[in-house]
Amino acid sequence: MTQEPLLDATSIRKRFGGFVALDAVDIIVRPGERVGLIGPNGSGKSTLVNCLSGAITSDTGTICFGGRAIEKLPAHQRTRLGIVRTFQIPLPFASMTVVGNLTIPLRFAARHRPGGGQGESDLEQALLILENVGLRNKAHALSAGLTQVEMRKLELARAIAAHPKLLIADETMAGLSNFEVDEIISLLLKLNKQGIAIIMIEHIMRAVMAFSQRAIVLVAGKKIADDSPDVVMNNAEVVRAYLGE
Amino acid sequence: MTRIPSWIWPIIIAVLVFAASRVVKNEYYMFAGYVVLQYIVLASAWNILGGYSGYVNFGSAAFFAIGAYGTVVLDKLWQPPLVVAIFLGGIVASLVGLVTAYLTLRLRGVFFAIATLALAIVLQTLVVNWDYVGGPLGYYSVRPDSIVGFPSYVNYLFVVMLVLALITVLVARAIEWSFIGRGLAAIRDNELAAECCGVPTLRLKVFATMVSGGLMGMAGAPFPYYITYLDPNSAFSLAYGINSIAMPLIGGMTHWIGPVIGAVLLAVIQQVATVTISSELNLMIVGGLLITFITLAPNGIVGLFETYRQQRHEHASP
Repeated sequence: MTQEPLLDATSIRKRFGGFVALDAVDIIVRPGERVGLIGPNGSGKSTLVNCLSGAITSDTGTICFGGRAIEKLPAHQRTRLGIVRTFQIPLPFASMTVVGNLTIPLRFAARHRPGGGQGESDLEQALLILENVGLRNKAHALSAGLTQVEMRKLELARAIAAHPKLLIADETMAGLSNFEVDEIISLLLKLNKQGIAIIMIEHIMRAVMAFSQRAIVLVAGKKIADDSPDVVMNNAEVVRAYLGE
Repeated sequence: MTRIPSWIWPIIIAVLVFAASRVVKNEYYMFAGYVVLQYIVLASAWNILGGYSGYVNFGSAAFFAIGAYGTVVLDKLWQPPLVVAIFLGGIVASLVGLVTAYLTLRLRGVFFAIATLALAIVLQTLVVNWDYVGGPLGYYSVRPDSIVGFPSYVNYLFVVMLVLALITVLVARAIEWSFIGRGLAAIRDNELAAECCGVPTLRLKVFATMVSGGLMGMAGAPFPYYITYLDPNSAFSLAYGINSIAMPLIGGMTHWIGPVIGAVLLAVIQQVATVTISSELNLMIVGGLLITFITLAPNGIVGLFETYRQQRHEHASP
């Protein structure tokens, strides 16, 4: 893999008061790659996601996306460029229907892409995406009334509607049953086949191993491993971080 | 579906009200109607920011007073036509909206509300200490001569406010139905999620604050000629801030018709109470209605109607 990286973030640092959440973290993602991001609770995974997506700005470090420096851009512009994230705790637009939720990224993000806003109408596109994630039958239900699994699917559907080049899935599967986990994994693999690079943040090891081509391990704000999942799992430092001495 | 588009209705009603203003001889109805129309403008304008995006503005009186005192300044300078004063009042108020927005919109929730309340207090203090516009003593504005084609100047003011109310309602409706309204609704539901879906949240909030503030300023511009004696207490009256929140709340904040219903209902009740009982009772009525609606119908009259319609729909197709 010698392609130009899609995402190239170097020495990302973030402090909250005296607490160093991220300490010079580097992360590279190539177009179409599947990356797993793992680490114990409080290791800085979500902070990294927030820095990459623009929900918070990193203190130092550079983030290049598609060859463009984006570390100063607000979140909505990064979304428009193609870095789209989902939230650990689903944040649906509760006053809108499921379809209504999807029209927001379709109108505000996808249309700002070359070739966006042509062809099918927003509604048709939204229904197609819902078909793909298996929410078609809930299209006109209020999003506030969905079950937990459905909310997570909606969260993914909304991200897909923004036409991502890089999808950051932040614990999309927490609290789901094995069957549902498999469902989400196959969905993510399907998206990946369409050329979307994916960073998966996950506690469920089985899911990460099944999904990732490469695994990155964060511990206490530092990256301690970045290799193929098999190698990472046998890394002494990683084992120590997860299981203790 | 060949339905009559809903924007026709405000125009039809405005035309009917105008026709009535030509027939009715009793000036009192013009005086009272003016206040109702003024509250339609304030409530609908407030709702563009407060209802659509969820940012509660307690400083309606500040924007209203900017329009009113703008007219006072112009009146002292060269007495331009009222339309010019309204236009300038709107521009100045929306510029104040712009500055306020940039200073405060990074604040969320209750902090934004407090900041807007502070804006009203700061501006009132400035006006009290500004002798040119009368300071604490206030300013007497002499009504210009009657305008050609109108039976009286009060009648003219009534029609001007009618047109302003119509414009405001149509603007509010246009925003609600446009992608801007969709974006503001996303901000109201969850601002972080909205931003991450590509919604330029700051820009939309600034836009909403400018439009909202500008319309409130326009509503205030004719006020000195209506009341003929303007002092800081009447221009910055607490009633504006409270009413322009209470009216959308009671009418319903997610639909443009909500503030109109709330304004008509509340302003008429207040007018009737002022004449029949006492003017002190006004705010108590507002308080009582607010408590009733917040507990029994948190989505206002429009919300009640929608729930009813949904239930019927569910019964029809189970």
